[in-house]
Amino acid sequence: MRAASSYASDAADIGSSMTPMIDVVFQLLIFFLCTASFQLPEQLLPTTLPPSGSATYTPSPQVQELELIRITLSQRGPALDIDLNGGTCGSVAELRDRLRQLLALAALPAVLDIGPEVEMNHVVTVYDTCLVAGLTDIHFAAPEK
Amino acid sequence: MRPPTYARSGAGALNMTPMIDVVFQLIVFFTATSTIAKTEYSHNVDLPIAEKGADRDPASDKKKITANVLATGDVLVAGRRVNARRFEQVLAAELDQHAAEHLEVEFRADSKARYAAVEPLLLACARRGVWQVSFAVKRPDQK
Repeated sequence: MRAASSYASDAADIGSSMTPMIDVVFQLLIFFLCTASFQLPEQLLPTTLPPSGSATYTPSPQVQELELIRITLSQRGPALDIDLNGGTCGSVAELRDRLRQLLALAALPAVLDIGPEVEMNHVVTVYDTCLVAGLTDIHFAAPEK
Repeated sequence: MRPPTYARSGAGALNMTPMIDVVFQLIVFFTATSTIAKTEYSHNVDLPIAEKGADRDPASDKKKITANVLATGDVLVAGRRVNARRFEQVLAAELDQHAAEHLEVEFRADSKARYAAVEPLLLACARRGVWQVSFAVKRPDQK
């Protein structure tokens, strides 16, 4: 009848081996919870550069004769100055409305001439506004050498 | 007479502890290596907000170069600080292995970074014929 006591001993062994497994499972849970909470979802705002390998975009004479939307950005302190074809835009919303008015007349290319001091949140906001207004042909002006 | 004790240490007693140890080691190893591969996303960059942002294409097989532009103007590529010239060298090295149509550049520029830090990188992309460029942004509801 000693064999029965050995079964009881096996059951005790299996029970005791569960403890490290539960420890490890908890460690894993904590680890993945901690690491997973830091990654915020991001999106991409696509743009297209000239595919020819040239650094500058030179509009054709025909386009220049018709019209070219030129948006100039400069920043003094926190305030952003927006210039649309020589006229000042008071806000991004005004820029969007005026771009829509222009695009209602014709599908025009746009050039963003951005000052080096402009913060990237303004750059992205204006670029995003151009996309929202319906512009599809947007270029970044390159500095003259 | 005492029965032999070695009989109970046979296949009937399954000790899970070494297996769990090994599994844990493997998980830590793969997690650590995948974290190293993603260091380009781990910098503390406060992204701008845009309405027209699109989700990343997980099925894209294009080679992606991620440039983190910090608020200070420093540019980090694969965890290393680079200037515009070095960035162009990185582009050239990638272009030796991939065609331009299979290469894309993602700028993760901080909201407070100046355009002066990004413009030379855009010029480098244009000079090298890398035209697939995008800016990482946050959704408007993530303000």
